[in-house]
Amino acid sequence: MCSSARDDRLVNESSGTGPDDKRQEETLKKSGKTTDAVRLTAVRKVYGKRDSQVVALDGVTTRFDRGTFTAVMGPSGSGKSTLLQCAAGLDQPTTGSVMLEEHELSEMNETELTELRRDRIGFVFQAFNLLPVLTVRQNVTLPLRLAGNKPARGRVSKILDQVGLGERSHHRPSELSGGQQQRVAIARALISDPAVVFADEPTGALDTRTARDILGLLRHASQAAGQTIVMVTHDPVAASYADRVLFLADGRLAGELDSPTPESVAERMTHLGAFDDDGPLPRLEPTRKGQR
Amino acid sequence: MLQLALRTLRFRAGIFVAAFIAMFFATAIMMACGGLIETGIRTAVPPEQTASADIVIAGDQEYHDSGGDPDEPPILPERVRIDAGLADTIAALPGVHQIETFVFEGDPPAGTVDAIGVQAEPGVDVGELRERIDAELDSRTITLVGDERGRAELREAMESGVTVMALAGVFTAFAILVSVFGVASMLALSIIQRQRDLALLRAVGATPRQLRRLILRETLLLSLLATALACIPGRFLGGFVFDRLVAQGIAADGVVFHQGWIPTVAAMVVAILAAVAGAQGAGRRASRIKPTQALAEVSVEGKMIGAGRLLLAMIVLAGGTALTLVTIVVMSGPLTPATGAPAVILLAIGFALLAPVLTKVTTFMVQWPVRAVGGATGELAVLNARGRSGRMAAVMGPVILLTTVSTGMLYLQTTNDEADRQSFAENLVADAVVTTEDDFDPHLVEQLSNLPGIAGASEYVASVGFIEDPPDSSPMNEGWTLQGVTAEGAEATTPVEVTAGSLSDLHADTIAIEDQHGDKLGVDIGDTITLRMGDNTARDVQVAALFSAPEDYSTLLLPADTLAAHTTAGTATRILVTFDENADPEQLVADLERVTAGADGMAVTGRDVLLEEYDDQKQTATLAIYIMVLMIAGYAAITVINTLASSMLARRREFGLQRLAGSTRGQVMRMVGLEGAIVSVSGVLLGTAAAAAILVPVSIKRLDSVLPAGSPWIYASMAALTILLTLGAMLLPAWRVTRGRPAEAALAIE
Ligand SMILES: Nc1ncnc2c1ncn2[C@@H]1O[C@H](COP(=O)(O)OP(=O)(O)O)[C@@H](O)[C@H]1O
Ligand SMILES: [Mg+2]
Repeated sequence: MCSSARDDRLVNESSGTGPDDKRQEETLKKSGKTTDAVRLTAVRKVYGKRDSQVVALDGVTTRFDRGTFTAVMGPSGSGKSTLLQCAAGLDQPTTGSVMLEEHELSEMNETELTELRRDRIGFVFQAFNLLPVLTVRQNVTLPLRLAGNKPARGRVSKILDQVGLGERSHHRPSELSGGQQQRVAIARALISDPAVVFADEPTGALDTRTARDILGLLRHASQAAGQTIVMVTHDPVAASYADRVLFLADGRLAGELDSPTPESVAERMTHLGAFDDDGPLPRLEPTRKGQR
Repeated sequence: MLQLALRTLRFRAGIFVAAFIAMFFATAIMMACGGLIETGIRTAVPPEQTASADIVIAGDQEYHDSGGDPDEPPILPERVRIDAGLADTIAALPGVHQIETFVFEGDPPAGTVDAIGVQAEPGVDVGELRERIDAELDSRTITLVGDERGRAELREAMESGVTVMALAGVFTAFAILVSVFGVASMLALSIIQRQRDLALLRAVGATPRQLRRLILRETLLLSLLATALACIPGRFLGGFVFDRLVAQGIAADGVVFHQGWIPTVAAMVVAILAAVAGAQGAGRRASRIKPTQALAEVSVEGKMIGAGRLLLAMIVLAGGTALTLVTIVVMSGPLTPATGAPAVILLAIGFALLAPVLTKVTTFMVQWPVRAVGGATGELAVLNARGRSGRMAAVMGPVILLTTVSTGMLYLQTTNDEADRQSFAENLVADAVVTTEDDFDPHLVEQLSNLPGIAGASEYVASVGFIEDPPDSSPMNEGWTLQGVTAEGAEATTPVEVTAGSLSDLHADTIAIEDQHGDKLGVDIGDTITLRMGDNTARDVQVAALFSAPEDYSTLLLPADTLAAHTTAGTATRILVTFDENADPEQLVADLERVTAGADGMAVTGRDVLLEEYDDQKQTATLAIYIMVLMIAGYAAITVINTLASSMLARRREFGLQRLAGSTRGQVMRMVGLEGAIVSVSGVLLGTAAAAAILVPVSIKRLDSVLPAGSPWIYASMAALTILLTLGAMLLPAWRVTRGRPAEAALAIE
């Protein structure tokens, strides 16, 4: 469903240069940094109070380069969602630093983080992505309007066309299928032309065919529009759409794989012994650091 | 954001129904009260006898030198008459076409009339003529025009206007309080119910401030709609209540109900402000929602109780306690509800604010019986009640309010009534009363007191007056009770103990007062006191006796004929008779009847007639309290139903899942029933505790008893009603949402 005609539309309409080039130039000017969109350094996240502490992330250092599509994999409870939330400024790490472009997230307050999120970050969750009272179009333009900007008509229609929902823009989420709802979520994530799109198991609740559509859209966004995508999944096939796979176990990085195929991912997973397809039960014991 | 607010209201109307109804009723009540206040301020009485006069000159029934609040001068109890000689002066004024004098009641003393009607010459400006007339009048005479003219005929109008305004003012204050609280608790619930939506908004870029604004906008839109619609019942409710007040004799028949645009608009503004105030807490709560909560499968409960709420609860409880103390100290009479009722409300709100904490305690207490009765279902009910203490607290608030307000206010009333009646009965020494329709034979009192077995007899005249010199602020500036007595029979027919001088010296311009009162004023036997009598004339009287009397007596004794001259009736119409201690009352009543049989229109009755009369007067105040309780309890009941029903409807998905997991519909209903039992029993317990906080000290102080006066059935029926209401409000909607197939419900968007 991602025809080449649509590819063209994903490129920023007004200027001749691609948005990616432009952003890169700006960033280079501001920070003198190079190609990473997000950089995590020694990120540690501990939930709960003294006697019921859970270490969800235990010193994670990694980076997501501009225009790349990264899949984050790991058994349930390994800290994937937590990693995503910390990287996206939805939550603050207990210690460690998260840089998004030139912004140090741990130094920002809630309002600054929110403003950063709506301008520079897009989200797709597994479910409950949309406000049930708003139409498709209103959901998609929500981040822009929260920022006080008037969405350009043409751009909204283009994005809705890209995700194949041009016809459905005045429907409400309850009138859409699960796959269609996820596509609306992707359109919303892309509307503000963000630096990074984070997706937490975006295909987790979908059938294989629909899931493939969604994954295609995400890959397309990274390849054609130079968007940085970070996606949590535990499906090897889904992971194979990415440029790189990050493996997580017990809140720690447990390996990386470039140019993954479903087979290589599955092999690495069994190799790591962390999980099979049916998966052992979440291994909670090692992540619980009891009271000292 | 406005669009989001609008669409939320449109498509998730369900979660706002409760807040909407709260605002709607509060506004309608406030409009009605506004109408009552306007009616009181205008006190418009279309003239009947004076209809042909352009200007009516009459005595000022307000006493302006009481030293109290100048905006609420006491209303004098007797007809204030005017100098008949004034008629000639007025008739001579330019522009006066014709004058007419009026007497509306009683037999005015020579040289006085009740009113003078002035007809202006054609073409003369009434306003200017009125100014010319006013220039001729002293400060105790006033001019009336238009619909004021009837006030001269209907003297009660002013007094009733004041009562109606006071009542309406208290109602309004309650409506505002309950409305702020109701809206706050219902909005809080609506926030809990769409936590995920709000978290998603935060995730995609809404700042905490934007969420606060969203809640505020929703509330504003909702309150605009609710207040606008409330105009419809608001128009009629005021007139309806006023008619009831007239029917009960609280408002004077003849006063016209007026509800212009001012009360309507003012009520709308106040209701909107109250709603906005109520939305503040909900907005703060919404802005605290974390964006990651959008991802959470189950909504996680936040902190048990915020510091702000705790602080507010403490302030409100402190206010309630302070008012309770004032109530205990001020205690008696019609003023009790003025501080007692707000004290009850504040205590109720304080407890309701603490509900999140208190709920834990009560749920803990009732868990064993619920588990014992319900088994696995009971277990689930307890877990639900515990796991959702935020939601529990939101629904518990109105239950507490309902219990506390209804039982607290009713028992406060019955307790004070009982105490007042007890002290009235104690102060009433007489055993029989002889009444006449016009005048007594001057020797009758003496004749009666000389009958065998009679301890004493005295004429009885009652009025109200003020002490002007030495300066004295009478109790609450409402004046002293003046009682006219016959010197010889005074000692036997009053509860006083003479400490200096003698009551038998009470002739002509004399007075007897309480010795402590005399000390306070610095007067002794033989000193002169200037009194302002009930008909607004001043009179110098000499202290003839000092006495000690029971607490609350606050009565000054004067010679009956001296006092009678300053009453509307002009004469005494009652004789109090006290029997000897071991005399046979029936025999004596028969004796009295025999002696009085010769004269026309005389009757002999027991002392009960005075008690009954007292009860009749009390009825006015009691009825007002009942209306108040009914209004607030009704409102709280609506809140209970609303809150519970909407919280049940929001659990459709949860019930669906539970049924998919193997619960039968019956088991779900049983679980809800047990949850209802936890909520209602806990709420009633807490509400009772809040009511006890004021009732116990007041009962101890006034009745020397821990328990308040009044039938235990009031409590039993209130508690039963609250429990039934709670259960009904939970079970009916739960039954409705579990009607469909479970799978459908489980997949529904919340
Ligand atoms: N809000 C939270 N409070 C307490 N513990 C949490 C919270 N969120 C996640 N955790 C714990 O942190 C660990 C990592 O969770 P998560 O990042 O959700 O894992 P994944 O997404 O890989 O399944 C788990 O042990 C989980 O129980
Ligand atoms: Mg996860």
